[in-house]
Amino acid sequence: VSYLYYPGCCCALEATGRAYEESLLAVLARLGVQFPELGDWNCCGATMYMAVDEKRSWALSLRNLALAEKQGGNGPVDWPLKTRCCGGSLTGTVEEVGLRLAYILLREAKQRGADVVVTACPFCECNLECFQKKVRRKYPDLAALPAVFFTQLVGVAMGIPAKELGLHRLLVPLEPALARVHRGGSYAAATA
Amino acid sequence: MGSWLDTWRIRYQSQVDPTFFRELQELPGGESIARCIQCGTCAGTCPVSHFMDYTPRRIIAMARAGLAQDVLSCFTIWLCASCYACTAACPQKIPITDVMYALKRWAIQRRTYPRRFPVPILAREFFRVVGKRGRNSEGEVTLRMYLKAGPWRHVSKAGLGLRMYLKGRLGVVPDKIRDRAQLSRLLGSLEQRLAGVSRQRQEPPLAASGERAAACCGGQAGGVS
Repeated sequence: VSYLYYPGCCCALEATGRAYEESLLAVLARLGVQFPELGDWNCCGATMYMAVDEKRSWALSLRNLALAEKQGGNGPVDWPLKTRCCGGSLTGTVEEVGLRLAYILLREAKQRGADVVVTACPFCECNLECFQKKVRRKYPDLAALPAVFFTQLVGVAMGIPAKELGLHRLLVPLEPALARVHRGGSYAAATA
Repeated sequence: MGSWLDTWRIRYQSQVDPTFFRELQELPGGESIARCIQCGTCAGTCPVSHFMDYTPRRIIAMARAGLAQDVLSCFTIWLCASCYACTAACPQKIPITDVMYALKRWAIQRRTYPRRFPVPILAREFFRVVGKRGRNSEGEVTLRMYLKAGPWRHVSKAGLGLRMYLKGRLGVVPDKIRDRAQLSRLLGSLEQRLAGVSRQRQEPPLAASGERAAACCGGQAGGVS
């Protein structure tokens, strides 16, 4: 997985922020993160362009976003349910309630275009991933959506081997999503 | 099924426990319950309120009215997943999740919780295992819960358990801390020691801070200790 780098005019060659780009690229190279530049990017317009013509400033931003989409860029989807409760142990105790809570979270993430859900909480991960087969049996409209610990996705981005990240322990495999992510995918981040 | 009177939830003055509201108010932050304006923001925020027999708003109203038996035998308090969405949203800053925890503890102390309902069983088994070993072992606690909640109702869950075991995600050997004797000394006479401390300080019992002194964070045990 690689990130797309949008330098902006300030950090471009022979601009005031030139050392910013140089140090950033040096640090990322040491971290082993691939960081290709967005090809043929244009100025974002900053605040000045906006002060003259609003619609044209949007067009400037849109061109960059369109280029990024074409080249493939990853990022989080807007997922308002990111702090909504997964139900904790309810999947194990009162299954009907727990499965519905997991379904609501997964469906919303899917509808908002996420290829994978990342969680910080082990209960969220288990409910959204281990119980997903049961969720999908109860709610067949839901397509498979991998859910992993955020550290696993960070690890993938840093090029750490799958085995070291425990990807082989997943009941919903991450690989199909990774294939999409390589072409520019999105993730939904759960923080509850 | 009870009589139609139970179904309609008609209650009489003779069923009211006048001390119940006072006990709730003595909880840390409990005085705020008097401030509830019955706006229903808690019920609207709660992700499981539509599964509850009484919404959180109703629980507060019933508790204030002294309907102790109804409040302590309902499913609502056990469906509460402690996500704190209601507490975060409450315009009157009532710690609703803490109130739910207190009601859970009282329901267990007074043995009024619904029998065979897995949530209080899980809380008690978790409390027992963590108190004994200092660590929770998910496999053991889950197995104990299903055995006590009626294993025939939970056979369908064995498949997932097996799949997780094969992936190395479900331990069968219980984990434990080294110094379990120390833990049992710590937990053993906690109430008496805290009572001694509070007598010396001329303060009310330190219930809330005492709970947080356990070695494990407690998780589900918050409902019982």
